[in-house]
Amino acid sequence: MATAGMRRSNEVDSIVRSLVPEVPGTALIAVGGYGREDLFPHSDVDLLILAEPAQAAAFNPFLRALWDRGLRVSQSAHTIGECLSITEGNLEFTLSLIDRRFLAGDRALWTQLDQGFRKFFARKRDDLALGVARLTRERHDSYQNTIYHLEPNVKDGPGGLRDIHVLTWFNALGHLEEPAAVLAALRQSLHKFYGRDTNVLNFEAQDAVGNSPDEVMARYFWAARKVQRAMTAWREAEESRSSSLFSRLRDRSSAFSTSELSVIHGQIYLSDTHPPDDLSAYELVARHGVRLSSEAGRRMHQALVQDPGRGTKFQWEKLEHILQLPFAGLALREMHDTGVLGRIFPSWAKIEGMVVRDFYHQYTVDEHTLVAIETVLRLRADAPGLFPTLAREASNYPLLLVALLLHDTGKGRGDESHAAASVRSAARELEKLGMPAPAREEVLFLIGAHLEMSRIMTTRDLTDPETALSVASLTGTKERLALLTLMTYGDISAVNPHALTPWRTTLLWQLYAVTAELPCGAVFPPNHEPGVTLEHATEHGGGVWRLALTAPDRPFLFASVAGAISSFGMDIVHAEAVTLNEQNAEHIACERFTFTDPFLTLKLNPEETETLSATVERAANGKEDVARLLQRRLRNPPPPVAPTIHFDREASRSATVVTITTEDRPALLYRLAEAISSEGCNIETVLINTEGRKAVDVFYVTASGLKLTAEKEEQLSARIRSAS
Amino acid sequence: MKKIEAVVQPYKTDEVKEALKAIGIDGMTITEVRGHGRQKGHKEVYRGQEYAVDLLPKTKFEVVVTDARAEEVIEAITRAARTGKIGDGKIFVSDMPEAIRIRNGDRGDAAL
Repeated sequence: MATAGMRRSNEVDSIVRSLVPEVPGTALIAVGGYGREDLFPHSDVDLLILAEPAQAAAFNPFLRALWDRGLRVSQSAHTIGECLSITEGNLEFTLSLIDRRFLAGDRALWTQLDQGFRKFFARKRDDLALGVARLTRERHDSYQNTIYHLEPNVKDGPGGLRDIHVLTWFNALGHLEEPAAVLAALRQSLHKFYGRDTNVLNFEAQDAVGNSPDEVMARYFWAARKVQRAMTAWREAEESRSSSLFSRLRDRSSAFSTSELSVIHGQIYLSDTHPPDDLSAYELVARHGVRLSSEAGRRMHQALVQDPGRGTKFQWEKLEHILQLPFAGLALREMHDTGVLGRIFPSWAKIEGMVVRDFYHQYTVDEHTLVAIETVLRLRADAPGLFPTLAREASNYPLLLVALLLHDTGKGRGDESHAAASVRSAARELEKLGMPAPAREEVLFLIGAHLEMSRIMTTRDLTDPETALSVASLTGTKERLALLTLMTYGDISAVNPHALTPWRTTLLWQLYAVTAELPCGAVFPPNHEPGVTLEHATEHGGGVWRLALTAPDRPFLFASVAGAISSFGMDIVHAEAVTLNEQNAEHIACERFTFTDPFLTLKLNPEETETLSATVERAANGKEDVARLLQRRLRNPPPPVAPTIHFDREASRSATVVTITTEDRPALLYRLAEAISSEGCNIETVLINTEGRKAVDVFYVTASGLKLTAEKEEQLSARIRSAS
Repeated sequence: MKKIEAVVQPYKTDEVKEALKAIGIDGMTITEVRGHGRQKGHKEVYRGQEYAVDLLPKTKFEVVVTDARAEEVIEAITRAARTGKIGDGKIFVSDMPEAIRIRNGDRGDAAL
């Protein structure tokens, strides 16, 4: 039965033959798609005029007549000699001659070309194949080497019709008639729908050319995936053929072979007894960057299809091992292609080839995920920089990779947030896989929070300590903060090749940095173990002491600690404190004090450092009467200048910011904090600075969890005045 | 006509957009930009690595309005973008001699 492409070609033939002039010693040849008798409604009509340069002009009126008939003619005039040589930079012309067909003119000339080209092609086959392999690689690169575009190009994209032509030229098509027919039918519909040579299957066309866009895209991905696999196998075979005989004899990849698996020219072949639930082939991929041969891939896929029950035997230890190896991204891709990944994680199978339409995603959900994983893996190998260093220092990378793998598996399940849906299925599947509970908790946390940092970085003031605090309460530990930051980096990068602009990169880094450098950032407590550390440091040319404290929060905590330090005669010059909300609703306070020792107490009596630490710890736990300790020092005359107190209800989202500027004096911080706590207020965050004799103390304060009322501000103001 | 360009903090983008919509300004161009003001850039050290924070992320709004509306727009942007802190941004106003609607060739105020 004649295809639509053939019928169109026949129509054009009769037009061409009715108009072509008789010019002795010339011939008109159809080449390219027209030569193949495979013309799409609005494709170019490629014509070769076999003629000497002086004769070619005689064809001009004919070409104009074709244009007037509405044909898009693309013609060239050459001598036979020109046709039988490869011209640098015009490989496409030589390739178009592979599909050549006599139309009109001198038959003897045609025979000469036809036979000459046959011999030429036989002689130059390997050079041509290598050139085509290179062109194909470049073409695929411009589509990021993936078929999984939301709006794919059915002709030039990877796995497209152009790949089918290439495979046909070199007799490597195999059994791809059906996928070829699917792609051709899609291109036919596109040309009819748009009335021009458009080959991008965009959203509009997806709605128009089939029963439903899902069905159209499923058909497309099915066909393109088969074609792409065949194309990759052919291209890699050609490229390895071209490497010198010497290197072929010393195929280094063969050293990677095992008793079950042999590796030849970078491709893995299976033994006959290879079981389908054995992941060792993928481990070989992950370790050496070799790939499954197309035959091995097909066998593993078939084994899974024929043996549905055995997928339950997959174990986390094995997968974790693969994810620690350098080519883990490639291994996941192979597992995706053979269907193993969908067997281990049924939720993954549901997002394969899924199209979620929006204005910024470029890939299907599964491809987006694999690109994200490859991005964070590449970071580890990148040149020194902020994110690469973070990636190299991060522990538990396999957990990050699994979290990325499953982060979007909840997409397309209705109104619920996809992060929550992904967490639910991941919890089930990871338990079944045998992942230990603590690791599972990390992964589920990352999946559940994967949208948070990108949301916060564009909607919150990054210089507001509260922003950092909210991220710190969310993440809890520095390890989680690093993994969530890297996850966000990968997730944004994989939206489209231009999504992670320097603008976003800077915002993400700022958010990471302000959170990591929070008061307790330096000692971002792993698991928030309560305790006190005290160390001596050199700062501003003089010696200062730094004390860091982590303790369960309670009323008067900050005042007690400040008071305990002051009771030793220390002069607090800087203090920061934050309260973190733990997930189990317990509140943990992290405080850091920098103080000087004007009377050299600690320097002259080293044993006093122990006493000070112990006193602070007792004070923090409410086991020390700080007021009594301070009795002597509190008997000071009131300051000559009244303090200024400023309340700001707008600067922070959840707290009133109280700024107190006053003359510094012993135990000032204790007095202020004590006054605030006595008024029943809760100190959320503190930033204290002393400049000369002027102290600027900023407290983020709430009462019963809310900002202060005007009345409360009045009362607090009065109490602070009398205290300071 | 006046062209009003406002460079504001990224997290104020939605607030400024809403403020403009609230006074009936629907046409605007929003760009993600990076730059620095009078403070110039500075270097920060993160765990031994020096990195430049000379270009800070900001959002730029561009709005072209009739002369009569310019003050109102400036006020709306200022109110929405202001926190009182360094880095709130700047607004630049310039005369706009001509505007053309590509679809039908409308010119001047009619094109806005």
